[in-house]
Amino acid sequence: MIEIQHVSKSFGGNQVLKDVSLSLEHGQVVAILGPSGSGKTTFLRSLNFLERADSGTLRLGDDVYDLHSANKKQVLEVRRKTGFVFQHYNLFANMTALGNVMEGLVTARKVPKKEAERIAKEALDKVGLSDRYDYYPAQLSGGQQQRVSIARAIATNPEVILFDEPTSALDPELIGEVLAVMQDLAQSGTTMIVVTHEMGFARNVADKVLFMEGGVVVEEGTPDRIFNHARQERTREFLQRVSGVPAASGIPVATAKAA
Amino acid sequence: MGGEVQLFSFDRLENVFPKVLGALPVTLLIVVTALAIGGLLGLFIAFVRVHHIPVLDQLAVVYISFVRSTPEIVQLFIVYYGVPLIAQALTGVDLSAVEALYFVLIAFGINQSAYLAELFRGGFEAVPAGQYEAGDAVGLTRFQTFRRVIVPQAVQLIIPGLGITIIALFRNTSIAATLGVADMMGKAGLIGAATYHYLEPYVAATVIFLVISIALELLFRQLNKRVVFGRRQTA
Repeated sequence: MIEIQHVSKSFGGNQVLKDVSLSLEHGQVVAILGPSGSGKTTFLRSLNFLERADSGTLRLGDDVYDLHSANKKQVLEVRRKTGFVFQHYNLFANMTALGNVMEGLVTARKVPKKEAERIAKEALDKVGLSDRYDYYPAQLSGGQQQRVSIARAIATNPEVILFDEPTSALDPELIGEVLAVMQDLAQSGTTMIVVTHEMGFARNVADKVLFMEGGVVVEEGTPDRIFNHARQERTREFLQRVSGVPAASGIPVATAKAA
Repeated sequence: MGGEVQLFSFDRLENVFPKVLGALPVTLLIVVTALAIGGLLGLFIAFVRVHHIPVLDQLAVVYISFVRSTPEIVQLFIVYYGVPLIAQALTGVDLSAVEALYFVLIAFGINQSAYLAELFRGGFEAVPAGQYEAGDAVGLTRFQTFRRVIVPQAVQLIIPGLGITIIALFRNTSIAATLGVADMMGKAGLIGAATYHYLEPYVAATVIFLVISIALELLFRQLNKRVVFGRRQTA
């Protein structure tokens, strides 16, 4: 069980998060939707302390962390229990795909090198990059880089993986391969919180959808509730706006998640 | 060529060449020591500037701009004549018997620290912030990220500028002769004074400077041509 409670955050005088809460079960996928500037990325980044919230708590299993005042050791602990996938991949430019995936295991978690290499290769195989172990980020396409980044996140077997608009920086024709990998993960029971603009993914893969605007959760519920029976006018307006334009990928996520 | 006074003689050049070359170690000593002092001091200054450490940051700006906007030879004289006076005033130690070479090493060390500090700062600041965040997200400590991710990338960015700096330093060491240091330039002057033939020893020095500078340039050009981290280096 992951429980995030009462997260607030201001930048200067501008309050970007107002008392945002979210809870999810192990193995669930939550999609967070919302217009840009709605605070969804800040919310996600405050969960692993890339941003310091002004207040809020995070419960991971039996451990509770204060998102404002956690000390260095606790911050490291949370980061070692979570994975993060960046919009711009942020792969370590000086390491190969394999090195990128091994780094969190060997340096951060002191896993023996041999063992780490085995785990890292397995993770890269899972995202379909078994032929790219020794490639540097500069030698990979955006979609491949993002898949390495996903492998880097799953290799440490985290309690939850946080995805920050994982397909927004990709060329349209590369989005599908990344979404497919994420869908695989969802189906194999990985706990995920995904900030995304991919409505198809939210609708077909997520267990729960959050719609955020102006730093608050406007509405949350099952994909069916949000997409077909939204209660809030703002939610309906947003969904209409984004569905008015053709989906960025053009690739609908094929199958609905097994219920 | 047959005149009464022979302006230039290849025989004399051949004769003095090994003597001038014999002073190369002194020149190289200045280069290596200046890089060592300047490198350490430069790293510290770069750290101060990258992290905007109050007071020290402002002092660093003044220091760098002072060193980079005054001629090396002025700095050399200031150190040579100034340091003994300061030492005398502060500690009462008499440095008048200390060899000029030591002041040259200090002066070039200070000079290089300013150039290298800016070079290092540029390298470190050019590593994208996302690389630090990735280290955080993966669970590395800031120090681990610095050592494993940031330093290797910064070094790659620094190498081209380092080549230029080292070659310039190598050439500039020649002003040490003005204080009577027997580097290649000083040695050439001494030979000239003793034989009344100045041209040949200076030509010998020219040839040595030329060959080594070009060799260094080729070396760094090769270094820059390497494919590093899957990317072809430019610059």
